[in-house]
Amino acid sequence: MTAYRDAPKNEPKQGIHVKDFDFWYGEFHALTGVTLDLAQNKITSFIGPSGCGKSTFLRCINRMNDLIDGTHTSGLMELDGSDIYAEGVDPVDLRRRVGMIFQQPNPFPKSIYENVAFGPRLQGVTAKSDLDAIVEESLKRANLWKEVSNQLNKNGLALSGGQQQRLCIARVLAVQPDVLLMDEPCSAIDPTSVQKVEDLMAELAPEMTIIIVTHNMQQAARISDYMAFFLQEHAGEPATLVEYGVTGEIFSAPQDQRTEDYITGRFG
Amino acid sequence: MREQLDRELASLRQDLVKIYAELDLQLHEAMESLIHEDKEKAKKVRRATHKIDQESMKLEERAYNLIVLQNPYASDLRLLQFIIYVNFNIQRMSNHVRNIAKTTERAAGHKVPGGMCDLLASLAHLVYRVLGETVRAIVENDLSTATNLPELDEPVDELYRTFFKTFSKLKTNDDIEAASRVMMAARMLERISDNSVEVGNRLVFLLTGRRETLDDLQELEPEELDDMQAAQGLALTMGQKEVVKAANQIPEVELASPTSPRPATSGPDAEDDDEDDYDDE
Repeated sequence: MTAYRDAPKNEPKQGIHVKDFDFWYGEFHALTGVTLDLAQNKITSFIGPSGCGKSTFLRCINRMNDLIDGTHTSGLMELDGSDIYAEGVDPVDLRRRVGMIFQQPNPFPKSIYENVAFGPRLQGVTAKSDLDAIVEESLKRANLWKEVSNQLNKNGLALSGGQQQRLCIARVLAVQPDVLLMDEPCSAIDPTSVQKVEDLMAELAPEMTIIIVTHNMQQAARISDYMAFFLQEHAGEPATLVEYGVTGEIFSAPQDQRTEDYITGRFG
Repeated sequence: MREQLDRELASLRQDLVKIYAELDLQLHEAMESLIHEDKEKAKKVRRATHKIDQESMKLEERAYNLIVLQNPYASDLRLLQFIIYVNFNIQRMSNHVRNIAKTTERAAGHKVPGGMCDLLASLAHLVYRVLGETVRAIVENDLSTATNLPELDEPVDELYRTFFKTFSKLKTNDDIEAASRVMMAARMLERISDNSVEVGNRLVFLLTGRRETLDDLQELEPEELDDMQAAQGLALTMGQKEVVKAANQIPEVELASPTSPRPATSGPDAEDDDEDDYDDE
């Protein structure tokens, strides 16, 4: 049973709607019975102990798990009213709408400019002036423009870790996604860069749905509007969504004893 | 680290109940001193209330330190917030008890008009019930006991109004000054009762995480109250033996009313939240 207190409810055919969703890695049943609406244009954090299925679920939202052999799903996961696992859905097109940032910054071994222009080029944007405008706007939105505007030809890998992560965010923003998935985006960068990425998330949230997996409880409390707590209670059994609701309420008065025990540090 | 936080939370909760019990004891002493015109006892009560204030401030500081250093969440955070708010109420109650003791020192030697002292003793008995039940609700984390507090406070307000009726019937040869001081003591008792009910209101948030008052919960069935409870952290139940021991210091008071106060036909609105205060020292 999942506890929902003041959990968001999307309008029909809008945003991400998940119902009775299960996921398997081959024979291993990893996730079961996940039902939730992800709040549109808000920040939602997924928390839980290691191995609780939060990253697995995150990767289901843009079908990244399709790249792993033997995985399969059941249940419903809709984006704006369309089942993202329906036949005929192009995962590449889905991933343009649902961008992803990983734990380790992963810029291409190309120039800063080419990193950001890569996506739009794939989408058919060829005019130099258009690409210039997209690169500048994306880097500005990622709060990186001021630091790199005079060195756009520098290799992306030459930037600091925090700058690389913001470059990756700029690369995602260049293709104008509706949803941004972030899998522990701040765990490999320094505190100042963490602050910049968090500020950036707050700036982006009004125009896109952001979902972040984090092990940092304080970060989840600071930045997210809603929070989902996942847990695999017994080894070998599938993980599930234990509690979902307003972050402030879950941190001050969780409904489920397991959530209480986890966020007060009594296990996990 | 988690164990250290657990130990400190349990210790804070025990000390909170100890201070509450000491406050209750000193109120008994203050009333004894007033009714028996015992100036020496009144002086001791005054000193004791200053000690309560000091202990209370130390407790508050420890609670703030834990918030800053341990970054608590959920029931840990609610307990610390509860302790801070209850401390505030304890300090107010302590001030009222001190003022009753001062009343003793100033009223001694005057002849209090007939019946007013008995009325005051009855009022005190009603207030002891409110304090005792408040502590019981805290010790047992019992929302149901807390919801009884407004009902227990009602006769306090009613009897307090009766003082005004009695006062208005005083004759010219009665000692009006002595009667006024008893009136002031009654006012302090009434405020102590209100403060204790306020502690009950804070208990609602501690146990449910909801910003509701005891009045909001009056119509709810016991099962509905149970459903409201948030997940309980260990912080609320650890060191229970010590907490019960601290609460047992409170003198037992029968829950039956010692008097049947008649509703007043005139008098002030007992809900006014103004702070009567004697000049301290």
